[in-house]
Amino acid sequence: MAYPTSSNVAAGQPTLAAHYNTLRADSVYLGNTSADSNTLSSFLTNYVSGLKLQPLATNRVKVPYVAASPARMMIDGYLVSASAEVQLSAGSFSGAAATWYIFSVRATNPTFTLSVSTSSATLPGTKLIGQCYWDGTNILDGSIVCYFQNYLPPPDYDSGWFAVTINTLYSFNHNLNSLPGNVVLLHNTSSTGAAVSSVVSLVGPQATCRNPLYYSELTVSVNTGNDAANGTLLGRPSNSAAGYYRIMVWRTL
Amino acid sequence: MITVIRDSKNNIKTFSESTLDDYNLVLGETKEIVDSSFVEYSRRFMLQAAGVFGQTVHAFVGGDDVIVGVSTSLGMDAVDLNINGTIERVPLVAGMGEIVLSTANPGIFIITPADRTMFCAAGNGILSVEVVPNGK
Repeated sequence: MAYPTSSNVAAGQPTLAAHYNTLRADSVYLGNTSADSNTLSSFLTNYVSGLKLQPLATNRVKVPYVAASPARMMIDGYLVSASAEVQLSAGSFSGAAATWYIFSVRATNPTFTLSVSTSSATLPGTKLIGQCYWDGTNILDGSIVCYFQNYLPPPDYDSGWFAVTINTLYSFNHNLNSLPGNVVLLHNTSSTGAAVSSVVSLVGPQATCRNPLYYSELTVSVNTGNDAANGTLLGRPSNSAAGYYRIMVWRTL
Repeated sequence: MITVIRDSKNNIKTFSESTLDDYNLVLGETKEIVDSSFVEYSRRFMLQAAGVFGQTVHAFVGGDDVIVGVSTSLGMDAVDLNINGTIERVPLVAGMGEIVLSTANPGIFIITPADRTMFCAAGNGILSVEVVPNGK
């Protein structure tokens, strides 16, 4: 459809109800009817761009400021943006170890501040934007998560853990219908997943080690090595002829 | 629910926490769904040495003998192990038993369940113990 649907009026021309309603439809529904379109405000409720959360000494978090791409978001219907680095106040964390939730809080200028809470409930004028883990003494820097930041997405194919032994072929259909952009083969010694995982790149025999992993546009396979000591993992920390594998596959566009 | 894959000889080849709908069966292999959790099924048969599961254990020639522990959750009085092709019966108490491997000579011990139709010789159901010359 053509947009905008409203048109200029001439000086002195009476404004008719139709003028007003057309203009309103343009501004609220991009020229559509309420039956066919969300309001711009509701559509942009979850709008966030340029937002990152980073650790800040000591036991604080911050939203860094980049002039060319400042953090912008809608909070409770208001469009706000950072005009400088936004820092959480010192001494915001206390008490026993827990996950803390990070909120942006609408301020008047129009920007935002940060607050934290052990509750994820969103109060008026705030937006839930992330979380971190407080161990009772410090924030674990690596635990700071921004819900609106791009991280490695979940794999497009995940075999789940399966038991393996030496000299055996295990083949799966990932069915991406294209060559994967990334494939990771993990080894774990425990069925509970509690042990340390290793990325498998080589399997024995040690003198003629091989990469056991290969894939096509539809399948991904591992062929473990014919070696009683290193057939499923030839690694520096440990070797294995047993254990569990997990294959994760990501597509590229 | 977990999924078990058996080879053409009906031996348990692998088991998975997923339904393995995407698994490519090779000639003679079959798939079955088992009402168990992944961890529960893995505990049907486990081998370890010094608390180490699922990875190769190393010992030195002339060093302390290696004690290998075997356990099963199936309430059996004894279980047969295949040690480099030799079958050895291990009595079990409360589902657990032990065998002792000599370190007199260099080499590798490969220990698996003798009955691979009942137990899976993969995952924590196989253990390799490598006896290496001191200083290797």
